[in-house]
Amino acid sequence: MLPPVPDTNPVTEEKVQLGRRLFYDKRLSVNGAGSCASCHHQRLAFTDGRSRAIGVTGELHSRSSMSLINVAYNTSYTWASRDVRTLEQQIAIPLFNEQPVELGLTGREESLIAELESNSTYASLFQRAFPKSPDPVSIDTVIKALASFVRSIIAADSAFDHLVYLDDRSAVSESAMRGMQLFFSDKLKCSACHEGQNLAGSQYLPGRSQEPAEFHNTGLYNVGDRNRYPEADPGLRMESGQSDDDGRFRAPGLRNIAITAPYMHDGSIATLSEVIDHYAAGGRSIQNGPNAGIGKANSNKSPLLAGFELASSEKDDLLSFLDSLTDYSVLDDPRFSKPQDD
Amino acid sequence: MKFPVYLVIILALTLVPPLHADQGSSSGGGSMQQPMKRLTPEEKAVVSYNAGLKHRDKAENYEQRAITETNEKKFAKLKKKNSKEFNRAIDDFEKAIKYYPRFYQAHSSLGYALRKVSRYEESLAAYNESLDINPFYDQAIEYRGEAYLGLNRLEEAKEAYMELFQNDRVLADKLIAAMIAWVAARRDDAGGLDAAVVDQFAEWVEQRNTLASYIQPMDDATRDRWAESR
Repeated sequence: MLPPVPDTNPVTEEKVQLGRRLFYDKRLSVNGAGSCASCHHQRLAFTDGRSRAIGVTGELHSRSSMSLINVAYNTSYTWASRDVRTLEQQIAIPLFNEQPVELGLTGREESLIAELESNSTYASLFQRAFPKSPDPVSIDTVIKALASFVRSIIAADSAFDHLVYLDDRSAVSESAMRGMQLFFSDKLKCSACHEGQNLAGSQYLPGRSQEPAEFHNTGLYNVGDRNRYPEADPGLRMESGQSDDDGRFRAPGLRNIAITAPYMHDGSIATLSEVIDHYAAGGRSIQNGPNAGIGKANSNKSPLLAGFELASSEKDDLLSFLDSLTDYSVLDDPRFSKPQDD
Repeated sequence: MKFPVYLVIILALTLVPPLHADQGSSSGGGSMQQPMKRLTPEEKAVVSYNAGLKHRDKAENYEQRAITETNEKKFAKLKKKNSKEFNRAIDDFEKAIKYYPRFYQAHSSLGYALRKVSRYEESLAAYNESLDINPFYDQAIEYRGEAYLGLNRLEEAKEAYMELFQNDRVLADKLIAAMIAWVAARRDDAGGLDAAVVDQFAEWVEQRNTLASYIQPMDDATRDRWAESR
């Protein structure tokens, strides 16, 4: 299924090429220290390998960088927002966010546009990408081009895809097949939150015109046993102000999940194996420190996370299945890499 | 200014509407008859095609009624009517194709009606014709998949399913439902097929059905059941 594309920003090859160049361009930061690619490395499935992202001025973000693979299918963006429903909205956040600063372009809009306009390569690329626009180089067109590039990052060549879409049974190991059955089983219920072709929550799916945005508290925290996540990032509550939204985050897609460690919204779980342990336990207990508390007992925790028993061989099978979701070709696909002449 | 004779003739032919054989004969009452537009071959094709669809729908209605009919005589009568309507549909679809040979929907619908009266080989030829004209017509791919099943050409039926699975999940579901029914029917009567072939196909169908369910949105009933079970 092709991803949906907004009428206001139809994808063209020219926009994708312009967006790709902008994605890797450090001029899109307040101090020239970073670009979109600084937190979204192609080799790491467009994540950065850190627990929490660091902005160009060194500020630590409260959340980890999300993978950009197949996000064109999302119906909600960032880790926890009902309001951010399009890539165009999402892209404005890292460009202009001030708490924390990510790329730090607030107040620098005019000088950025002037710089891009004075660059003959960019002037030509913008003109080609937005030929009918009276104002081809603008913040609006920068965002539209970036969104078009990110929208084009589609992975569909994993072993899982070969099995499901090409009927190639040899593509997936016996262990991964068993793991897949577990993943979708009544026992584990992983697919209650990670569903559809991208094994994700809040995404467009065939048969549904628009998937509502869904958010889950997975029992990672229960600070002071007061049913709260750390105040620095209370998840959806930050946007809604509702106390029962505390600790609720979006279930990200699991494509290429094996290479996007560390995990969870704050990168607080180092490995996939430990993520499975966390879900098997039905939540996490933190013994000491400012975040001490029994996450499992958090009253906001999703009822789907009651824990399960898993034999060690079953865990291996589940890990094999998660491995089978890796599309290695997207990690060095030249269409998504830094332009050579840059 | 004097018009040349040839111009007068041309104008006369252009401005005076031709009468159709079937035009306005029943209006009566001495009212003025409205001149009717002469139908193009394409328009005639559409008229025939729509007539064929009506016969097809009637045939399917008889088929549905036959399924639940317990009286043997009534059942036979319904089946006879079913076959008669499909044959009428075949005539109309063939007429539509005669008027407009590139009418790929008509070729596909002709194939469907032929299949329903068990003329599988002719039905396949009709689907092939449809897909030669428009290779992306998923409806014909689905119909052809069912025809392959009828002919026990299982590998080709599987290929049709995989093609639909990528392009049209609703039609893919329809074809797999036909495959499940095919397996059930062959379990009752192998129809000369090796039981191992049926088993192997049944296993493939089951796995494909499972995989399809994995990547489809979870239905509300399962979601509720899972939530309640906690």
